[in-house]
Amino acid sequence: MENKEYFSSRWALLLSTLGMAIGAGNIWRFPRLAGKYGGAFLVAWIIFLILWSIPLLMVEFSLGKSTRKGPIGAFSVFLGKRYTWMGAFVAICTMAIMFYYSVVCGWALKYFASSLIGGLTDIDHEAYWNNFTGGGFQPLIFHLIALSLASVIIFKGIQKGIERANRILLPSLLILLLLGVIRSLTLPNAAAGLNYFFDINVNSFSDYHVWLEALSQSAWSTGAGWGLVLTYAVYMRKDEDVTLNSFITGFGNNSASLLAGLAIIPAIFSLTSTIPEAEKALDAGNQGLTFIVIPQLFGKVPGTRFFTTVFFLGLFFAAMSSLIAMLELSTRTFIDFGIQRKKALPLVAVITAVLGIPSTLSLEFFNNQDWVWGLGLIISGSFFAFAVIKTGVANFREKHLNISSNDLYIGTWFNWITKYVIPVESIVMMVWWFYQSIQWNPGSWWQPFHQYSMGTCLVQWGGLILILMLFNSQLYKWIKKDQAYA
Amino acid sequence: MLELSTIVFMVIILGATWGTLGFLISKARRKEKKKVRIKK
Repeated sequence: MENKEYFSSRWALLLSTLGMAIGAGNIWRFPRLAGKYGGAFLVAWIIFLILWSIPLLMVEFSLGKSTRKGPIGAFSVFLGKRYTWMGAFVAICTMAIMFYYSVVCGWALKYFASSLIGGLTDIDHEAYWNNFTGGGFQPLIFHLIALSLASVIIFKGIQKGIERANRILLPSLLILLLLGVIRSLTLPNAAAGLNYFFDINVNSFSDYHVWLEALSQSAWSTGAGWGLVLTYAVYMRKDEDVTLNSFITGFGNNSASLLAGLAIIPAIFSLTSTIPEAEKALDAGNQGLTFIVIPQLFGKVPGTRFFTTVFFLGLFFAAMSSLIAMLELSTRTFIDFGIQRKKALPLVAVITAVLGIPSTLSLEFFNNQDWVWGLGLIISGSFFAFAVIKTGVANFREKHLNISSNDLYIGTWFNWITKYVIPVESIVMMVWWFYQSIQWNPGSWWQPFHQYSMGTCLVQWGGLILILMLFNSQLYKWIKKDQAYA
Repeated sequence: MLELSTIVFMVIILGATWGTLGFLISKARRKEKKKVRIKK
């Protein structure tokens, strides 16, 4: 029954995959990095769209479309019983992100609501943020509201739920971003921000930070390797394209990021008095920039309430469209175990509500989970590459990419990138982030209970992988084998 | 004041991203129209 539901058109599918890809990271991470590293970062970020994100998006689309199962089922069908645990790692990594992402969605909703009623004008924003996240019940309440909204959408299914929601969320987000861009670019001294954003300094290309941050941003922002595109691809029509849709998803995500950059960076440079002050604002971290610095700066322009409301509504829409995809992945996983959507969804919603609570109560816990499972996505991405390498990259390209239903011919570049470049990128990214964590915490990098340590990653990933490998046969048995592998 | 190098680089980056997206979407539209014609 479940697999008979499909996206009604190519555009409905694309709006949903774009909604999945365009999330909080486009608004709170990309402008921060682009502002910090300038034009060289933009070049590297576009290069890694081709060298990481788009090939993995094609792999995900193909696996979902051909197996008609979520990540656990797709890996077990595609690679065989022995590798079921890999699909489970991909699914659980994304679910772990969903637990705290719902909290982010709640933060955006709270700030939107506060701004709408005028609660963000003439206040101390840092105190407001610290008070909000300082252990009270408000983050929990907004986390539950955001989760309930996403659950209602998933409950209604693909066409009436996900498709209809994204038809509203994505165009609205685009309009809100455009409003932000117009406001930002018409502020006095906005040109200073543009000069900084699009500053092409040749020496920056030799800075390895630029390349690694660009690779990480591309990996996290496009949603490649998360298993989310794979989940949406379960509901693709049989004659639907994979290759052109992957390119549109990747370039659509990057286009939205550039819009967010144009809305935020010139505004920051216009509303701060000096370049070092603007640099300090961009260096405030994701949460600091979004919930403290931006409301502070928007307080200086006419129409403060309107533009702050627009900004947080845009952030909420971006986060919600991604939360919907994460909730669908989790629900799909239980559907693959033979549980009906109407029963699977409440189960997933309750688990998410409960496991999101620690992140609503403690920013330290939130940051730890963001660090561990954000990095875990690099492992997830490498598992997708492994699936293709194991079955033969050339074979995969001929059997899944260069077929009559696809609109773009994919050359041998795909073989090289999947077989050599992605594995190398995965290792380099992992080593670099661990090196960073040792630099940040020289004395405690091995401690499992430290917020940003290498030890906390190894313990949490290792524990999960060990459990999944132990229960590999059981997981395989749970997957319903009713759908033929097409 | 916008610098000339900013303008040039901005055109390149925005063109490479938004321009490519526009091209890809128009290609998808053409393919969809073709599929509809074939079905008819």
